[in-house]
Amino acid sequence: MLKHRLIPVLFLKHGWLVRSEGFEHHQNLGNPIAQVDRYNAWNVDELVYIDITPDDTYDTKRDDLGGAGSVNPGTFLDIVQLVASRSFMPLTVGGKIRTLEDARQRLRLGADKITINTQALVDPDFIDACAREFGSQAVVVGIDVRGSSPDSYEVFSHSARTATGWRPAEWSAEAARRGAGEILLNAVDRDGAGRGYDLELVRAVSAATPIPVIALGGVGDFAHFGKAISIGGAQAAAAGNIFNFKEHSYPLAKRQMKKEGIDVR
Amino acid sequence: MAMAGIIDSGICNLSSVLNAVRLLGFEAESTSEPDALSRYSHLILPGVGSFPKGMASLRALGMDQAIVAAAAAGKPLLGVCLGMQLLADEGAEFGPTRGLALIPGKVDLLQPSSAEFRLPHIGWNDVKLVGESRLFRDMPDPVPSFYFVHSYGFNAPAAAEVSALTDHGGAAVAAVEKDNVFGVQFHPEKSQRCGLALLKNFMTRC
Repeated sequence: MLKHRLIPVLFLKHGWLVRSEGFEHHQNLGNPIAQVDRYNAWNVDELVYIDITPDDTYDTKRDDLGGAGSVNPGTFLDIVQLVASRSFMPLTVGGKIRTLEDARQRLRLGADKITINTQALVDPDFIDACAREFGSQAVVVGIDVRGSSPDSYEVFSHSARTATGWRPAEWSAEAARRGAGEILLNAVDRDGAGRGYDLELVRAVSAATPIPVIALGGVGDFAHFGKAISIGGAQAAAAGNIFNFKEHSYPLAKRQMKKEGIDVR
Repeated sequence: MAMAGIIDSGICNLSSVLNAVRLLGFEAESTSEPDALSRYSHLILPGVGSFPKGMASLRALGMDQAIVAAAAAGKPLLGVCLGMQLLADEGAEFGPTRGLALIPGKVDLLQPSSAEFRLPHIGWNDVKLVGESRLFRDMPDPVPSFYFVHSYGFNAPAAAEVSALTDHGGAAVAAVEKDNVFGVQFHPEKSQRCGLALLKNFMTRC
């Protein structure tokens, strides 16, 4: 049987790792590469890197990214390449992917999958094109949802600033039909809140699509992870902040999931 | 000194395999020159994509014959994912295509027992050994799991050459071996510490 996955998501802004809250407040947590070594040591299932830099400015005035003697990397793509060169697990990369060439570039640098979000909503044919070009297994569609009840759930694009009129269940089904291999479902209003996943949302989307759903947004406690799977029906549970702030958070979270009878590695 | 030649037929990204072998402390290079294979102590044939495309790209380089000759001469060879499938006699994907015929058997679409087991088979799955295999010695986890991405597989789980199985709505072949020729359906270069341990076994014990 396939294992359920536990996935750290790293948000990068201007080349720095940040803590995100409500998609608006971003606290700088420092060097994104230092974290990779921790995730390697923790033997994690998979990593997701998302570039949330609003413009094209990257802080390149640093010399700490690659360790001693390395050249200064700087841009998000440089960071992707560095991460890929020192992590031996599936790697998903997202943020600002607008064209097939953007996607190809990230895959060539060592990403195994790309996650697309705004461009898929602007031009749904982009999902078909990516699936045809790279295979569905490489195409994750990210879905940012605002709202807190089935009546108010709505998919947002452009870093959760633009309403699209799509219901999350319908959009995820459409994405799957067009060739998406997975859904990365983010509850924006839960981002950084620590109250747990929006399980109703996770359940609605998981039920609407035949492809694996990765739940994201809201984890503040190790006991939240398992519920995304056992109650929400997600295949995988993901989080950002908790892995940055709690000591040994990944192994402790896995231990908790095992205790709840969830089949993780 | 062990040195790996990673066979590059231009159809996939080899950097993860290269980086993994180098991280383990071995020299490794990618090569698309059939004549260069003699330089390496170990050969790795990675691959992502379809069976006919994989074979066609090897043939276009003259690499198919070079691989068969190196294997016949006793050089350790490890096929990864599509690279493992190409070791077979024949693949069924997009119509029958002859493989390298280094391991007897055919590669067919997986036939899971129910629709709940979807294709492609993607993700981490447990791998059970069938008998003894040098590749899987001293795994860091008691039941090792590896990262799979595939829809096709070796179609004879009971064959003598099968060294490990996984389960995806029925037994699926995870690894094959015959003398100095090895194949793994999963991606050791994406399988964290168990994958790295397996690559190390290939470089040191095979």
